[in-house]
Amino acid sequence: MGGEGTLAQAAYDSGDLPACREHALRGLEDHPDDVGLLRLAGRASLELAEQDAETYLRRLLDLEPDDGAAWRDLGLSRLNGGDATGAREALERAVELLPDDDAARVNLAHVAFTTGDRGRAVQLLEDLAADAPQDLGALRSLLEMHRSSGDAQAALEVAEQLAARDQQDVLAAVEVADLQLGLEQYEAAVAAFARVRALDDEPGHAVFAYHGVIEAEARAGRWRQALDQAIEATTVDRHQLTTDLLTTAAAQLFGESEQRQPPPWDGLLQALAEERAEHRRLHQTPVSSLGRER
Amino acid sequence: MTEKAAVSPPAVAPESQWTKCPACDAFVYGRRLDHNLKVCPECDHHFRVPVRERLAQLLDAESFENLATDLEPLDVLGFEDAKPYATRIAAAQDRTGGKEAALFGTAAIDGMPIVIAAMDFAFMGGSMGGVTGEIITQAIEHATATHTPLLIIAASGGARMQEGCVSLMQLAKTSQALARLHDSGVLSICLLTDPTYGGVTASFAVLGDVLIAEPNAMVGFAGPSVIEQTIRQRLPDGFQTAEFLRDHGMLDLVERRENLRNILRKLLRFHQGSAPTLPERGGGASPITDPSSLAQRPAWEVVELARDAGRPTTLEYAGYIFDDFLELQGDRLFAEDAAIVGGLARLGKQTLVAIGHQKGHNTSELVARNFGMPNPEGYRKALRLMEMAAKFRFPIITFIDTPGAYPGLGAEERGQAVAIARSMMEMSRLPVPIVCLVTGEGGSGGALALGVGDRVLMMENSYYSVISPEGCSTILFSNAAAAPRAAEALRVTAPDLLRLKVMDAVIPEPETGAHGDPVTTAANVKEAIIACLEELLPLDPDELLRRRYDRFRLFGQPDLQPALTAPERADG
Repeated sequence: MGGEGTLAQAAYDSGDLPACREHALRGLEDHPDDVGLLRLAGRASLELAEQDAETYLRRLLDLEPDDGAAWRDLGLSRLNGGDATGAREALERAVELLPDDDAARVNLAHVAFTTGDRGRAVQLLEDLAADAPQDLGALRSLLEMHRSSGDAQAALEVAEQLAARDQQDVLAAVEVADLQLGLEQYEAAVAAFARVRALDDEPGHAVFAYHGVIEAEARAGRWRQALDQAIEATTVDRHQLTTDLLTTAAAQLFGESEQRQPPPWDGLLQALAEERAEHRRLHQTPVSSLGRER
Repeated sequence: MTEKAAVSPPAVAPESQWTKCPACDAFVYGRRLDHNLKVCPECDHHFRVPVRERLAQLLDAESFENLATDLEPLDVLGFEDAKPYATRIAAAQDRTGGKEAALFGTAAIDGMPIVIAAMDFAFMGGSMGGVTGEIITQAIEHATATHTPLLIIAASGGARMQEGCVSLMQLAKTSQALARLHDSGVLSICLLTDPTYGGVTASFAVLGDVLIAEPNAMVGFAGPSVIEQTIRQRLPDGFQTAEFLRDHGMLDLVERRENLRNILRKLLRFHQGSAPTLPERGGGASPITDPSSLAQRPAWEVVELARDAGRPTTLEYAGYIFDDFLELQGDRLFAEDAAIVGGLARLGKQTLVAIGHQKGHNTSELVARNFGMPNPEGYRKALRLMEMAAKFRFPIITFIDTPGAYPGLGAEERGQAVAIARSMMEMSRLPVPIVCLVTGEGGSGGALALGVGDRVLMMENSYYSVISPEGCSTILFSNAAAAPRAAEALRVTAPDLLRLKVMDAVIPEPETGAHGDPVTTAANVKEAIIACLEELLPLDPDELLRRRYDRFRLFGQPDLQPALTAPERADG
């Protein structure tokens, strides 16, 4: 690569991407077909989100069509620009050439999902989760994809895997409880929300778990248990949702009265669903964050 | 102890990070999201931004010097809930890498120095403990002592319960510090980010000179669920969003994240202390002070010209005349009133505050601006901006073009008369030059509320009147159709008002009228503004106020008030 190439590589290794790019581009002025310089120019430009990254990567791929890392970088560059279809083409080629490249696989999975190929996305993420059991990002993405697709049963299975892999994972416990409730597995949901209550010690969060238990008991028709939980919930929260649940359970057991007018059940369920979504959001992190590769 | 802290984003971001947008549910590629300043490229949702990343977005690279490195939370109550408070502090420090829910330091934006205090919502929900308030207060005091503009970036769930009343007292502590900052004439800007609630909103976050928020940022005192559960009603869509607050007069600006740095740069530039200079005169025709040199048009013709929908509006004049203009909104009390606009403007190197009634050229624009008829909140916004001008010693220019203050039920309920009266009284004692220009309709008290200045000028084809000609005609002539006669009798035109000394000068219009050639008209207006400011800027505030007092003291004084001869009536 010569002098500029050596400097570019050193800059890249030290994390000085602007310098890396500058040296690489300077080197390319004299050696436009130097694959090492093109690789560094492409990679540094990609990481700096420079729009010309694709130019160097394409030139590199014209010279080295089987460079899997360059295909991956081309895919990432296109992702930066919002070109999902182009990104998918490049990442498919990268995975073909580098089947063990986690970055290529995880990005391909997401771009496959966003371009409508859930099957391919699920397969890639399941493979990733199997290959790297310590990395929970793939499973989190998988869960979100199943949820977005309306496949609650598949989402629950993934959530249970997440919860099993890290028993202190509050978000996974919340997911399990929510999904069980949605799938009308009320007995399990009651237990799962109790687990959430034990795990989630963030101030003000206890009420979320209480509401989950009350809803599960109520939907199972166990109004006595729902009322007991609602009374207990008033020790941590006395706002409307808790008092509405209390009123509803009391009205179910003892009948409505002037002092006990329960709100419409559908509205209550909607408010509870919104609250559960908010609880999930409070614990959410980026869904997938596999380590970068150089 | 200080440390140089890197605030640039990490050079190498994770390549495989995907985030699910909570607003549109789309999976978003992390690097693309970062490149887009953490704004969803699919739906424009503004994600919450970690504090260091926020600083990197706004400040010059490597310019931030952290001055709060020694400050950590104090467990003054020995508080314990499910966990000891000390354990929660340690967990938050571990998770965020910060020591408290706020930091402060010095930095630069486009080379202009700034003191910055920024809150970190990731640290215990940005809750304000004693030391959080201490950090904010130290920032304010540092800005006061060094006379450096202050930027506060707020993000908080409210006061920190674990510190009891010590936390509560931070509201008072930070507010009193800001009072001193205001008294010292230093600019303060608050950027309210999602979410800002409770004690932070009820103290320093809303006490800046300029309040800015990002689109859809949630800002309020009580949280929406608490309100909903208290009033037992579903809240309207958009409640407590930044846009809701702006429409209710609480914010100056709602700005997209990509514009924030530029807006801050603009604000700092307006407030730079370099010697202000006005542009050279000569770009337009000089204002006329001899009434006999003015064309004598029938009053009703002038009224119709003044009402022509094509006449330039205040915002158009601002665009033509000023080298820069930044509109600021809201009365901080009730609502944003689109019938009055105002903001910071630049004329040459002179910063000033420009305020005016705003109409429109077609029905939808006119409806949106309430036909230029302000509600009390419009006058209160104007007064807020005028007081800002006084604080920073900026001259004030007002553009008057209104049929009158809005005669509505709500306007009366909210004190229309009080708002007008207060505006006139305060204008009479603002210690900065005020130039008032009647550009179209000068409709009674609604016009005069922006018309108490050191120089009052009117356009050649504008009118100024105690009542609309139609109103006078109905009341005094018992016939609405006699409006032209009433206009003549009221002496509403430029020559007569110049003779009566209500006006100091008249700004000439092109042959075709202001609407026929807005560019030439605006050049004439600019010429008049510069001429007035050249006379007024050298005066010391006491002299300025004395002359302003005398100017309005004259009217109705038997020995001093000029009188006009009776007009000849065309109809005999």
